[in-house]
Amino acid sequence: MADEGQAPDDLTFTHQELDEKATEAIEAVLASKIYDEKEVSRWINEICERIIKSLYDTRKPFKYMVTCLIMQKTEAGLLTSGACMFEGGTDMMQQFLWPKEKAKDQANKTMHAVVTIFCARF
Amino acid sequence: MQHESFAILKEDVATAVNKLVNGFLSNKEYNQDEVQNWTASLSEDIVKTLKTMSTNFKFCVSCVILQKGDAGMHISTTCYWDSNVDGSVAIKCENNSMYCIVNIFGVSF
Repeated sequence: MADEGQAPDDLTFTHQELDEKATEAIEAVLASKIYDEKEVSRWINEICERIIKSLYDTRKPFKYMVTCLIMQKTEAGLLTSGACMFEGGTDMMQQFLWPKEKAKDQANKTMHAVVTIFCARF
Repeated sequence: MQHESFAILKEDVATAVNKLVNGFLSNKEYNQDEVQNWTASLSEDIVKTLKTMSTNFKFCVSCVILQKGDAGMHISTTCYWDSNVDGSVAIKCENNSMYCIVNIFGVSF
């Protein structure tokens, strides 16, 4: 059950918090996997589900939209961007790239993942 | 114009955004230096257009431009919202050198 002493005074999400959730979910699903066309659609769904669940478990009064993109590492270029119209103080939109630039050599060599998280207060 | 649910807005949004994106892509070739500006300005233009279409929704627009080549790519979206009033639209366009995928989410407040 939710810890009653930890009332959500900070009714927003920090960049750090979202980064942790995204990284944890991606690592759990993709660490040491090779890009496999047959499996990818299952992985992206699983990553999205894990992130939504961990956001829901915070019990904050928010609606969530999570998008996950996995692309095979080749020479092709990929650009993503996000724009939002929302309420400045409480709503959040963040995009995360995995593996991070400064990751160790074990970082996945066969694919990139980009996760976009959008939280809207209601 | 106020809309009770995103479903009513959906078709107009899809038409308007398709037109915007196709118009944008029609005369462009994938260019590494320019693409960053393109995605940002396309997202912003879409949000501005959406703002004129409805005032009781918050919007999130995510735009991906992918160069045509041998790379495989998959995108998935999961949402936690009120399915009676909230909704999303996914737009896919292409030209000779690139694909453009736009995800639009509308959340009622």
